[in-house]
Amino acid sequence: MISGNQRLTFLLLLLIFSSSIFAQKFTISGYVQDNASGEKLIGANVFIKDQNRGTATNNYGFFSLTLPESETDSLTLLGSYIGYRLWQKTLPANSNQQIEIALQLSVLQGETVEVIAEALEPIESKSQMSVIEVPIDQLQHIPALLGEIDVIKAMQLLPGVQSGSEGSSGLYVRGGAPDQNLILLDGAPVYNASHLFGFFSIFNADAVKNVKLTKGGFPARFGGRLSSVMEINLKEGNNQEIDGQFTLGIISSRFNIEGPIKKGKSSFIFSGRRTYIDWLAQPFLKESERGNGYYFGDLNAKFNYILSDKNRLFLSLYSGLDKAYVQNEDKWETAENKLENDLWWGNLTSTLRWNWLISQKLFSNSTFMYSKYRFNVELSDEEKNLDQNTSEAYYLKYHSGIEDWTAAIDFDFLPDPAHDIKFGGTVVGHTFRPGAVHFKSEGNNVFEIDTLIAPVNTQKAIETSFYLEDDFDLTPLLKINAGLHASSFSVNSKLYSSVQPRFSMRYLFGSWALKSSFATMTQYVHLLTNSGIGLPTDLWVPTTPKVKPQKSQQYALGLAHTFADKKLEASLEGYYKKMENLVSYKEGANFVGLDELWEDKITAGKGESYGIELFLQRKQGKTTGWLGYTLSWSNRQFEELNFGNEFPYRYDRRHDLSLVVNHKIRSGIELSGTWVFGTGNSISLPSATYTGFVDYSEFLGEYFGEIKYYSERNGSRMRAYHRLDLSIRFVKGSTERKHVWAFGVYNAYNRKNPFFYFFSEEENSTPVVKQASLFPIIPAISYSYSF
Amino acid sequence: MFQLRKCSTLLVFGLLFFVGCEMIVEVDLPEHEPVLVVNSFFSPENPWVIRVNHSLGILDSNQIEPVKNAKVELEVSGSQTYLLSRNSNGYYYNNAIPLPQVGKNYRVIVSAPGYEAVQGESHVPVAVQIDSVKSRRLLNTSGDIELEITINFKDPVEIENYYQIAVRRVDGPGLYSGYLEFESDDLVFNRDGGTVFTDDLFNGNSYGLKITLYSHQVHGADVRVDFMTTTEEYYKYIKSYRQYEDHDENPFAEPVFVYNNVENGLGIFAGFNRAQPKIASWQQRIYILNSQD
Repeated sequence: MISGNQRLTFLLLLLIFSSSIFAQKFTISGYVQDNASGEKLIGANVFIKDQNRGTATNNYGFFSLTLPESETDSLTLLGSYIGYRLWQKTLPANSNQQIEIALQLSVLQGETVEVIAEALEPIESKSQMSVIEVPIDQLQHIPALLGEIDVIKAMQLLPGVQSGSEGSSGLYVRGGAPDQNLILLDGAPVYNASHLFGFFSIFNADAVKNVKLTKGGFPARFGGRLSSVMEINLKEGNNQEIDGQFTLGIISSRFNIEGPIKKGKSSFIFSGRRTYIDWLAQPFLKESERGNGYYFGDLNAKFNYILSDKNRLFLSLYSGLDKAYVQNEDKWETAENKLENDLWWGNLTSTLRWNWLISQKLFSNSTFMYSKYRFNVELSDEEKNLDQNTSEAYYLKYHSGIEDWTAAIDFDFLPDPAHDIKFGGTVVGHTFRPGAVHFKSEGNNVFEIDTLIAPVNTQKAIETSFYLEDDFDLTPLLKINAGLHASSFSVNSKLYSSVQPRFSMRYLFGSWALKSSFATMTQYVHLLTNSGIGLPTDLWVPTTPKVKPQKSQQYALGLAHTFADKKLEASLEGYYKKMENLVSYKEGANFVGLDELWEDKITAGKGESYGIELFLQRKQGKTTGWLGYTLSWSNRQFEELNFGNEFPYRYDRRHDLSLVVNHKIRSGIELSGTWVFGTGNSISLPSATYTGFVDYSEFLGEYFGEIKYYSERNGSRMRAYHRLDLSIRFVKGSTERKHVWAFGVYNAYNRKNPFFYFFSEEENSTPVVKQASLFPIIPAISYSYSF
Repeated sequence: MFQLRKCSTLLVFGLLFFVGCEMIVEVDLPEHEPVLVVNSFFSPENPWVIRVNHSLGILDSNQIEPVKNAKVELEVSGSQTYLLSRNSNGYYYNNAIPLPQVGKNYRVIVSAPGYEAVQGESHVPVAVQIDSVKSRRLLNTSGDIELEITINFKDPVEIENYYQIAVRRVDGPGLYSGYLEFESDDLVFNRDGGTVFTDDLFNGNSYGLKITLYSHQVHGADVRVDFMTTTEEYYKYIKSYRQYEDHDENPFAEPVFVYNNVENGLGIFAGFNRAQPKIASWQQRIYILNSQD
């Protein structure tokens, strides 16, 4: 008896291996890079003009084209990438060749770059859907809060992606939760991608080379999260000459320096950022307050070694920290008191990667990764009695975190231009520390204690996954990406496993493409978070014998089209997503309760989301940018919440619109603006009060209290959110020495957007609902110098 | 340099000054027409009393008043109907109505001018009796003496049961204290710290439920154990109400929705049945509790 799943698996495998065989004669492979820095270009297009065949580079700038025998003696190879001049070269036909394509940046602002339309891979030619890449140059021009360029906030401006609360850098993709996004920094997962309680993301835009967001139609190589995969690749470093950049901003400064270790062979890049409110505030604080402050900072480092034509090695490191601290010392004649409180959290990731070009058609990638997120609260109070020469001290420490060790191997097999076969496997060792409290008391006559007073439930788990996918042309008009992702999770002697079929296709008709996709996903890690703002206290916890893995199925159907001389891309997509085993705190529960295990505080439920997304993007020309619009619904149903009835997800947003425009006024002056509009968030507000009743009738009489009545969980809406941000950049100098002054304004028309609502009373005791808003109109200025 | 730092700091503090501004807003609150609120817990030990008042919109600054002109009817097992009369505080009663009984279904129907008629339905469950109550005194690691009480009972097979435990100090013959807050590590309470529980973990079996009281609560006296078998609606109401009270003011906790079973209105109309109370004795040997115990 063959089950439906088995039949689907068989069909997918048949599709993958029933390749359309045609005469294979010779292969052209190589790398595409920036000619000045040697930086490999991801997603660059390589095209054989004579045979009307092309491909795109992978995440390491590698391409491979296996071609049928040519009737001519030579052929023309074209290389193109946005913002670069077209590269072309005539090559002898019918022989295997390895080529380095070095593209030259278009130097002048607003320079008209020669484009051969076919050399650019238009959106409709790709089999994948629900994928958005925004050129990093465009991201860096988007006006930002306090001038802090923020990759994740730029992603929030895309259709299908919503921000959470005002200013927050959480991502809510197609009705999913923030923990359902796999954020990969050079392949290593990042568990908390925000600074300052979510107002800023941890990625230093100066060090970022490429950002790609996949929100549906997931290829088989991705797994482990339900809603999206965000790949952030850092620059490799200039292997030709020393380059640098520093930027002074209102709240932070950052630097970036890169250069060759051995010219043309190896390179490094260091970048860092730190806020300095704590330093600047010192002169204005009272002496007793000078031990108080807050800062955040990041450090990125990457080393890139070209060992040989076929072997490359990368080492990428990231460390980030947020720290708030309070130190207070009091001295009297007979006593001294010292109080120290520290609150800090941060990520550490490292990736060691070896690229091996096994043959012109087979590329391999071996990776070892380490990723850690920690949250710590430390309190200490020491008191000395100088008369009696005695002392007492109390220490309290709360810590939680997650740690991953990962080994992965990936292969990219390109047997012919009609097939791009990827396969590989990953093993991850997770260690979850969902919260422990350490209390210590010394010198106290009543009790001395050194103990863990909360459950210490460190849990270890092993997650493994394997995948096989093929991106292939079934006919010239029909392209398919089909594959399987299989994964398992072993925790506390319990083994979960899952086979996840993936499928996406496009069918061309003229300059239009009809696309559809289906993906099942399984997620073995969960984030426990209260429904308020994202806090560093949010806990990452594993699937356990009691808490099942999250699962989803997503279906999407869409149209893609390129027009206006290939300068404008448009896509329209509809999606439906079903989610199971979602976790939420029970009513009344939160992370603080020390006497309960986290598994007892949560409840499981399901969710569904559906909607339509429109995306119109212009990537080149004097005016670039995009318009994104989403019409969506997102609901949840938990047996133990809302009396088992379905309710709107907190970020159920009916309308979400983003307009992003960047315009080069003239050489050296660029104006940028964004306008966002979103339906208000769903919140639970009581609609009435009534008398509660507990009958202790026999002796105590009755007890009455006031109960607030909620007609429905998340049954009310905040006011709509809208905001205009503007910025202007003045660029002077050459590419070697460049000065950039950027002036910006966040919330230009000072809209008081809702952050949260609360009940209050006016002077005459009339109850009212008040809205707290966070950011009014905020100016920004930054200066940046690159050399 | 100092000037630059000073300017920057002032700018930052200036910006932060604006952060957190608040305003009064018109909120899209669900429309709320006041509804009748009916509250009554009933058991075979007490005559019928039903309290009727009304709800108020959340932004209404008026006081909640008893509804004094309501028509309150009690329908017994779909056959007999009794009318309850009122007193001045919004309590409706009728001592002529037979006491609540096991095996009968009760429906309350309340109407009043200006309000939609409401109704609620419940019954009196069979009281599961306590088989025995055992107690022992323990000296815990903090040097306090605890009274550990084990309540043994047999849960009926096939039906889902809901229970409540309540304990009082015996202050003299026929004199009891108010209800005492007890502690329990028993899993039936699901770490919620409540007084109600279900038979999910021991359905159809005998069970010994352990609770603990401290010496400062008991003052060397004996303790009376009240063991109630409740209806599902009684259980849900007490459980959700306790959670609500514990977390109402906690901004980090999820809001708690209090259960109600009054159709078209609000409140609770639920039956329960108390077992014959038992006494747990304080006069027991003292055991020393090790940290492993």
